[in-house]
Amino acid sequence: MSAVAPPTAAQPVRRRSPVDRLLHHNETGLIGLIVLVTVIAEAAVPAFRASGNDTQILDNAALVMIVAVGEALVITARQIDLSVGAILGLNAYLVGSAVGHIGFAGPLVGTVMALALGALLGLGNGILIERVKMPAIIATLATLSIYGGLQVVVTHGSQLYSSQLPGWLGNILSTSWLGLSPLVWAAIVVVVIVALVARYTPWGRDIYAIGSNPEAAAYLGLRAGRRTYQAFAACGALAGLAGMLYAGQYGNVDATAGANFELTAIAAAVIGGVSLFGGSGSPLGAALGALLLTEIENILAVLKISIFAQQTLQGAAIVIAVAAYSLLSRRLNRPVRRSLRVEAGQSRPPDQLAAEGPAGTSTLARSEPVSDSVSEQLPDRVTRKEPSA
Amino acid sequence: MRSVTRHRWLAALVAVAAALAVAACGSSSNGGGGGSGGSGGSGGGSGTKLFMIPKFTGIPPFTQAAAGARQMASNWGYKLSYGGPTSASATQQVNFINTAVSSGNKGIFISADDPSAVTPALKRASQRGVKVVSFDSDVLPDGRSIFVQGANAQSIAQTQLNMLGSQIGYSGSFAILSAQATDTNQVQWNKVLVNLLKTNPKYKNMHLVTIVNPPDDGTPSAVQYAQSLLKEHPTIKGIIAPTTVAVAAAAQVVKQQGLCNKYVVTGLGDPQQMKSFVTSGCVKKFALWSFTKEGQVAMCAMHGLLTGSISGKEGEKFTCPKLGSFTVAANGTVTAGPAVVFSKANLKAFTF
Amino acid sequence: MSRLRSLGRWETGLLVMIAIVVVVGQAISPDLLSTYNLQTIAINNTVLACLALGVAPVIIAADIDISIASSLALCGVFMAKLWGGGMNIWLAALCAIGLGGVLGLINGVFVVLLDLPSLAVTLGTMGAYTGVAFLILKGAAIVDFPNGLLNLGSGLIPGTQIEISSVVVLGLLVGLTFLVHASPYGRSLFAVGANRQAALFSGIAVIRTRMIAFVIAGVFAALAAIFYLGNYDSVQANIASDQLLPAITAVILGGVSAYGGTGTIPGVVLAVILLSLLESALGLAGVSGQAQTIAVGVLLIIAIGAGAVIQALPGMRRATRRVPDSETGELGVGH
Repeated sequence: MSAVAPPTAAQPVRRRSPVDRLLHHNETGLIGLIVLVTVIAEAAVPAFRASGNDTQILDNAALVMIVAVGEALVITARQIDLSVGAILGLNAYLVGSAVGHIGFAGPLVGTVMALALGALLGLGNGILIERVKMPAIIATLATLSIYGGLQVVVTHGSQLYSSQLPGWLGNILSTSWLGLSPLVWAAIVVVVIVALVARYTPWGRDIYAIGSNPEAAAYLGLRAGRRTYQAFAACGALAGLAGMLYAGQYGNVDATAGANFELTAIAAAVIGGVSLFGGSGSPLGAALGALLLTEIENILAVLKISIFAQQTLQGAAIVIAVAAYSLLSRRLNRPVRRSLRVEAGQSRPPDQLAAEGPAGTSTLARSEPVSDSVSEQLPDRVTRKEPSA
Repeated sequence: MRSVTRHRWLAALVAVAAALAVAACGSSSNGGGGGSGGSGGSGGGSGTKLFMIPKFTGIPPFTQAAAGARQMASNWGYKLSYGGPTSASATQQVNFINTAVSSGNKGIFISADDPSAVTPALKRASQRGVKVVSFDSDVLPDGRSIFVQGANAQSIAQTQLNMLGSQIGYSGSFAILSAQATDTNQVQWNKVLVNLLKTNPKYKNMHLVTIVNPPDDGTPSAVQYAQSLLKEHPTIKGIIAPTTVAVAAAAQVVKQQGLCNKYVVTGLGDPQQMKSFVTSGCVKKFALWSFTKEGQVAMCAMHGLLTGSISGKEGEKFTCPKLGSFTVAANGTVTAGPAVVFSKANLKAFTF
Repeated sequence: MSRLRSLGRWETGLLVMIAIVVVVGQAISPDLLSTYNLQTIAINNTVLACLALGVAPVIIAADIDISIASSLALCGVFMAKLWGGGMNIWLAALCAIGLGGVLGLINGVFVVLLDLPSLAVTLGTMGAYTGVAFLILKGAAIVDFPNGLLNLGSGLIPGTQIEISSVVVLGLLVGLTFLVHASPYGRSLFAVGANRQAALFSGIAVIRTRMIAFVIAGVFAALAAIFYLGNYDSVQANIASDQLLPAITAVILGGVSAYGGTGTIPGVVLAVILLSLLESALGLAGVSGQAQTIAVGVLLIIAIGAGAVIQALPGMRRATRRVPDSETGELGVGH
């Protein structure tokens, strides 16, 4: 399994200076950017300095972080999950009501319930993708409709009120542990665990390998199918956990809870450097992306920039972020890139290109001449669909 | 291979034409029957079908309005159906309007997502003899006969100012945390409120610093904008929030920050939703009208329209069993009842 | 080749499903095929048909554009604003079509020239376009458009029971069908969608082909905006955002592969007809909105699932060929 190293640590560019290597980490840049934005905002916007603002930003970012790291796992495996908002909403109501009704259900029972229900719904996505062979974007589009419809069905046109929640959940923001709310601690724990699992376990490496080059991963004997199930279950479980915490954070849960959350989570992951082409980026990056996105929202809200301009700015931020990551990684990997430049139609980031060999041919031989693989593909160009990376 | 492809899309194109032709045949064969629905309007009562379309299904106010209307409908033997989009969507509402008309409903209740966008479809419905009553959120006047509101804008604005004023001695600055800027109800109420501040000497020492419109009507946005509002204007004495979502969000923020004694939060809130804030003393007063009653009055107005006893003109009167008599005001507007002000004292008595 | 032929049955399948919906729906409620119902169904789904038609070439080229509904809103607002400023409504409509092309081009530049993932780019432009529409209108609405436009949106051809908008959409359908299935451009489009590398090496202008697909999506979004204004007689900055998912659903249900490279334009229109008839039939049968939402999701799964099963039946070899597809490429993710 460990034959394929995670692409973040892959060796396409061997002779890099330490500066290059540091720059190569998206997380470094993101933290720098967050610090920079904070410093500028502190200097320029008086209300931004107001006491408690920093903890509020963390509170507001917590749920997005949890969902975004789950989404990052799925995207890294070259899939996508559009149903996380509906999973979140469904869990917020069901688990919120359940822990309210069952007297003995403490935080532990609640968490297990939320994770289990979320995982179950995520597994539903996995089945559609692996068994029914639906593309992820379509499968999760369908489950977004289904889970969203179920949300209206189970809420019965009523809602869950904050007074129905048990104290440990209802006070999730008003309690403070070492200056941070339990909600933020929950997010930190989730991010750390997922980041470590993705970076240091064979499971995490499998996810990267499958996302970088599914064919090669299959030849290496990786069970792509099983990993896909697991990635979607994990993503669903995290969205489920976020759902329960949503009930605690906002108190009132109706059928609209979680609407459009999937777009925020995907935007956070993209801003955090998770490539939609799969195989690159990290959960930590996604979490930092969530933090940066929330901080920008906060600044725009404090600045009273017309709410109408906000959508424009956030949309532009996403486009700029993907463009910047793409350009940056191309610059850093230029020597490799040049040898592969022939395939202009290629749109995968170069570090994966290097890892998988040209033109998506099923081999790990990195030095294979481009022309060979191309001539293989030329004869039946329309009828047969080669994996074009 | 090319020939196969060409053959295929040509066949498909023919298929589309065939499908359209089938549809056209169906339409011509049923053409005569379609128009017959237009004459019904004098009957009312037993078995007549009515349809209620909320802004979207799945939230308590509309569920309550539907329950109220259904209860009143049973008095006269109407058959009331309730259905709408699962999230706010004018285009979906229009589909529901058309389905309601096609399936022979004689009356439509609607709370509009986009007042102007649903109006053309309602006009088409009226041409076929369907009566339209809007409630909660109005459509354009020529799209309906009567609009039933929970309380009129003037009294809503006044009640809100009084609730806040009585707690801050009618003096000091405050802010409004409203709904998204496209929600016509809130825009209208805020306009009236600003006008009252200028014209009524009672409020001359009260100073409105800002009206905040979050980008959507969800709780997370409302919470975030309540937070930034307090950061930017830490010296205000209170917040008026004219939506159930925003008032709960503002109360939540103030409670979480332990600032219940510093800021007064008031506005239009759902009693059940506000219960925990009132019992903990964080919110002293808030107001709302009964959506159940709004639904009941809408049903009575519909009955009047269907039986021909009213037509939606100013000054007409109709009665509602157990609720008394209602008068149609200017612009076809009927007010279901004054807003009720809630506090610790009377909160338990209300369960709507 | 064999794969194309097996997919050729897709449209037949859609027709069968339409027939089933019509027969069952008519049995439950005879109002399904009434003139009024058919006319309103046709009028109200013009916008959806335009959006679906426009985004189909993009998906055939193995990209995705989720900014179409926002483009619609921005074009609609732009057109209304020009008209409000005294411009002739048809000239304003023409300008809106131009703007639609530009918006599509912007997507194309980022996705194709800068080589970025289309899902991420159009997620960004989706917010940006809606934001600009909001900036222009500031939460207000523009209403009361001239009768000519309203006629286009919801009027009938004089002396008949046929909607003007349906005829125009039929024209657009025929035009786009010829462009995609009978022109050199169409051939490039399918080649690019099926295998971008191979297309490039066989001398196809991959960049131009993909760019044009995005421009087509933008132009059709503008056309959808014109119909929206004509039918709903109003425009706001957040209009039609709920039409994005149905449009993409219709394209996929219409037999366009989410991996690109296959599908037909008439199939997309058949899917729009199926979806709108199904919605109406469910509504007439008294099925609630949430059940309708669920039904559409289930239908999508059944259609794609059935497609996979049908493909697997003739022989296991073909079935296994499909397997690598789903592993290697995701719509907007893998390409």
